[in-house]
Amino acid sequence: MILGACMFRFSLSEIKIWRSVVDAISEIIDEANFVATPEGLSLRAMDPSHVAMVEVELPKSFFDEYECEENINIGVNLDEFRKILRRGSAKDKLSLEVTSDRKLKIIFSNKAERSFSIPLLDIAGEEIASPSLEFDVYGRLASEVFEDAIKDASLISDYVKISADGDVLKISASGERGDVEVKLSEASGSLIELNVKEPSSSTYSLNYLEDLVKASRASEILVLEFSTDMPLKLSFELPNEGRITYYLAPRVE
Amino acid sequence: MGESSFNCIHMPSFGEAEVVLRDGIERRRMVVIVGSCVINYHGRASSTLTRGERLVIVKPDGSIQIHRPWDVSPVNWQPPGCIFHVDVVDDGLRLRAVRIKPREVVDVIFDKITILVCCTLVDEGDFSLYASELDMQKAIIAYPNIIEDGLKIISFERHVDPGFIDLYGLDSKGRLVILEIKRRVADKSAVLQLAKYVNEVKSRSPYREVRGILVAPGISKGVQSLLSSLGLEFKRLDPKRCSEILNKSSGSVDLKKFIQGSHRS
Repeated sequence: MILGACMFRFSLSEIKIWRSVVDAISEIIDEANFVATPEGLSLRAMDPSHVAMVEVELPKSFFDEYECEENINIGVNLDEFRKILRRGSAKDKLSLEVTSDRKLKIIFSNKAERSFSIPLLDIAGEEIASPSLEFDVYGRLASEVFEDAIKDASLISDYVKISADGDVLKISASGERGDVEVKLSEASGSLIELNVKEPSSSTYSLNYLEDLVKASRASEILVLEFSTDMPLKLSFELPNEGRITYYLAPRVE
Repeated sequence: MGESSFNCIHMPSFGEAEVVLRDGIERRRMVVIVGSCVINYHGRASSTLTRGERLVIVKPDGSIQIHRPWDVSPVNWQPPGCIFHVDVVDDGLRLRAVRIKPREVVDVIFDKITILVCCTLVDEGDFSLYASELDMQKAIIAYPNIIEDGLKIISFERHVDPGFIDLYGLDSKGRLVILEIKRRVADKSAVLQLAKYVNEVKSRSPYREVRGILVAPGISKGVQSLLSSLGLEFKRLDPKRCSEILNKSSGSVDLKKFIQGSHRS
């Protein structure tokens, strides 16, 4: 193989969507290990305290151009990666390349072509399986609605109770300053869809949720799933079949 | 504070105050005076502050400060090394502080002294370990995988001088790992400290594989090459991130509990 030969490449005409994917991941982890296969790009990682997990699935249809012959791991420090991505402007086309000398090339093309090259990190992480959980509550809503509810709850407390019964999804919090309750339903138009197999209720840390809802910048539609005392699953749909999924562990007294 | 080294007198006469104050300053005590006074200052300029009730502090190092009943800063002060004179004068009791270079003289003339305190304060506290270094240590002990997957922490040591923390652990391959934590960007001296400890441990157990990892928010120029040449490693870790991890995660269950195999709720 020629030194510096391109082993992986993708390009996107909108930097914004890639930046929001990277931002969403960096809420949970500092170093990312992307796995590139001929089918697409993915990542699965847990935060150091094992309370939150993030899964990113970007099939090759997500990208404008995608070339990958063999599976490779792409390890990056997210802080450095984001600093470089900030140098791109909205009008730039973004290309990412991995060369056989273990370098990641980030290329912004507009009138000029600007190319940054950073060494790949060898992040030997343990393999995490995807949780195969079935949930009693399934809700589909505008991500903005959920983000607002979380921001409301953050005013009052460090943790939030999410409960569902019949056709109502409730997000509530109580603390020294008072109480807050947000009621969502299909009838009121705040939910697109709600399926409740069994009345369920679970409590989650708002410190984490505040960070996770920032993924709303990348996606307008959110699917929320949970069961009593089980993890919360938040799936943010991205254009062209991309997806960011978070799992958040419940708080149990 | 020993009993014999604490003296507090209430509404002393000028004669009494003169003796106690002179003695306190000569013995390098911490002196605090509450009273009504006039302040005359001669230095590059001259000024007089007319009568008012104030707080005067003379420290064992020969510094003096005069506080009015407002604000944080003293209305007049002199740095350490002043020479003091205590005398009863016509108007009352005069405490004179003389600074040599540049020549400045402050006269505090008390017409009334309400409280005079002379005491010995012992203060050996030091800043060798900051909360942020302790947070880094706590976070690594609680969640060692922020350094490396499979790392187990077995013990830790806190060195007061020159002030750093060592953590000892075992990696996933059973090798002994020495971690040196720094809350600021680490320089070459941090590398040499780590190298010293790694070598000490290696000399005690010559057949054991020992790894040395410098843990810090960053490393300055030239440090990476020094680390590599000494066979040591670097792991980037921010103290702020550590306190976030410690604060955020309390109360939540470990997500891993839900991952093993299929789970029907």
